[in-house]
Amino acid sequence: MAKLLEVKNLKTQFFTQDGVVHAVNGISYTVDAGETVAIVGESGSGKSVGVMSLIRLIPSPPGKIVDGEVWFDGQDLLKLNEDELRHIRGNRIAMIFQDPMTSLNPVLTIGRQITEALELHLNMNRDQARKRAVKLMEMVGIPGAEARLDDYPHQFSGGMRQRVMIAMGLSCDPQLLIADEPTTALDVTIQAQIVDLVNRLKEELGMAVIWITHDLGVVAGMAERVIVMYSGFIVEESLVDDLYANPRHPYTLGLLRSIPRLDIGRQKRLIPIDGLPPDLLEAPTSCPFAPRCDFAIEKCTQENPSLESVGPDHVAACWVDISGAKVNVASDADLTEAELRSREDAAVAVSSKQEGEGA
Amino acid sequence: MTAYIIRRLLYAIPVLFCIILVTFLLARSLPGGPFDRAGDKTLPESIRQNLEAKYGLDDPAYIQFANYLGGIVRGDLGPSYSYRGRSVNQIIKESFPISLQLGILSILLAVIIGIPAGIIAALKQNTWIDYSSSFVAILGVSIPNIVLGPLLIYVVSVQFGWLPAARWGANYKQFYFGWIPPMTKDFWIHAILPVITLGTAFSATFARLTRASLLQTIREDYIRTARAKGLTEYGVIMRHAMKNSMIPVVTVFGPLLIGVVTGSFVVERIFGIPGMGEFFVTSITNRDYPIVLGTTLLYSVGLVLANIGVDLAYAWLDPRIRYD
Ligand SMILES: Nc1ncnc2c1ncn2[C@@H]1O[C@H](COP(=O)(O)OP(=O)(O)OP(=O)(O)O)[C@@H](O)[C@H]1O
Ligand code: SF4
Ligand SMILES: [Mg+2]
Repeated sequence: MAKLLEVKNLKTQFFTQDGVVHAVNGISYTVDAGETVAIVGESGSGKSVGVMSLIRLIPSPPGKIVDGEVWFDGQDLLKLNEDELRHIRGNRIAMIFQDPMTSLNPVLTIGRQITEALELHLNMNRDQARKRAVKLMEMVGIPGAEARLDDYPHQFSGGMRQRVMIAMGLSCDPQLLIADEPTTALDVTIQAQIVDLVNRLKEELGMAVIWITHDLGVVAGMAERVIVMYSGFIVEESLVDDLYANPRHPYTLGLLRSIPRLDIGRQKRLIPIDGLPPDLLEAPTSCPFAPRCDFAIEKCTQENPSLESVGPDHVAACWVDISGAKVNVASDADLTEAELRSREDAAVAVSSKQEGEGA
Repeated sequence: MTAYIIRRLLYAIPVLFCIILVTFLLARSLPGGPFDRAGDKTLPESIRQNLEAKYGLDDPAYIQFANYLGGIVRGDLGPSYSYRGRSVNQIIKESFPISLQLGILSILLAVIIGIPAGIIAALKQNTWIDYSSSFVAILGVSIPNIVLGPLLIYVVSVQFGWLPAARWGANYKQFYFGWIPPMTKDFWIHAILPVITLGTAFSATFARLTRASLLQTIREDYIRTARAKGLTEYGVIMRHAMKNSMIPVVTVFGPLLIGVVTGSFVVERIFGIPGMGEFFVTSITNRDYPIVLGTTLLYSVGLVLANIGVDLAYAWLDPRIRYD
């Protein structure tokens, strides 16, 4: 399929009082027209900064896109002037955000907030825009759309507000919808509804979607491809099924092992990823995952691995081949030797520390 | 909404009653009376008693108070003791519109200069524009009227002779509807200096508040949403940030109006403006009870109405606030 978006070596940093925050460290990926790509990773891994950089929504100062290219429909968005970029924003690339409670303007009516983009990009007059706003609200499943047009955000529930955000995002038929953790702030049942809604609309409208989440569980049902981010790097990228069956980066493996699976039930042990994400104030010289990694070898602390192909449509950034490790772990027997050793070492370290304290 | 306004007005009645009562008691508790002296001479005892009898001051206090309340209900604030032959109603009619004009023009000046200055400072945060406007704002807040007024008179009127140093350029006979001044040159040249004197501090307050509030607002998530829609920076600020950032600014309107009232006493004094401040201040030394009460009541009513106005402005700015 045709490439819609091509991100090359995107690097975004924040110049703060404490130093330079290396939020996004040269990431590259592509999104085809009509495709859904999921970006996963824990909090602070640079998912939001990464996508906000695409349409230059990074607050500046302190943020700055220091390097890279963002090719969209034959032009580099990072080189456009403000006016040209505005024709893309909200029109051809739309974005919906994590917290529907704070992402809508509390003092403007829902109708006004939806019609705004229509008047701007599609040159509609007020009447036409209002009619289309009602259609959009019906499309995203807001009951009594016409009557609710003049309501304010605080009169809607969280789920309904996120539907409003989606209606706003879809108003100009974008070619790319960027959804930045659109379900994180919502109840589980509502989350599923929103996922279904976006899936359905994507089929109907044929747009591409970048879906950000820190929950690999949500991804399986909706995305074709998954990008795993860690510490501002892409550490693995693969087709969805391949990633679940055969993760090649220890961090991805950790993510998969920490999702509960109803079908396997009791037989699966949930293994959390121990340790804290790295400090982004220092440019990494080793594998950023090394301090938390069970597979780490000497080399990991000396050099940061870059993405290498590990199979068809599958890349990972790791010095070690972990293809033997199992995702579903029922007992210690399912762990690899390296993992067992590392766990023993950790246990020894803890117990000797306790002895030291006792003495 | 109408019901809400009516309710607020009804609530104001007991408040105003208490204000009248307390003022009445405070005024009477001051030693001395209105007819102790005429000019520099002490009045003979018999004349004083006659005068007091004439104005009902020999009645017991509660009867005097009841009579006064009766007068208010009829819209009669009684006679002045020190300005013989003039009623408090007449004095208010002549002087209050002038104080009102001074106050309104000062607030307008404050809004017209302060709010845009605050917006510009916020949008140019941490540039020389921001720093210099902050500097001017701090200067404006810290210079008291009593310094700024004479300074302006000295420089603008005395040194350059550009504007008159004192008086007001119109009187009550020229006012439309009893309070709107004629837009004559004479009116404006007299108004400029006092309005600047009174308005500067307020405009500095507005500027600082607007800047802080707008800076806070433009960090909100919904501003990012607005940018993501492709709005121009102007549209983002004007449509999405302004209304939100005006909410805290409106908060200061209540206290600000009190500042306008007290500030106008000083400014009227400096510029010899025949507004109500003069009467309010001298009436206390003269023990002119009806003027003390009448002016206090008038200012109280004004502040009560203004506060209702502020609360309505809130509801208009912020749809989450509903009064019903
Ligand atoms: N305005 C800012 N100033 C300084 N640092 C920032 C700013 N915005 C983001 N960062 C830093 O950039 C890094 C990446 O943040 P980002 O918001 O992209 O994380 P994320 O992956 O989206 O996490 P989450 O799942 O919590 O949304 C974080 O370490 C964060 O502290
Ligand atoms: S490179 Fe080494 S430390 Fe990094 S993930 Fe792979 S094994 Fe772990
Ligand atoms: Mg985020």
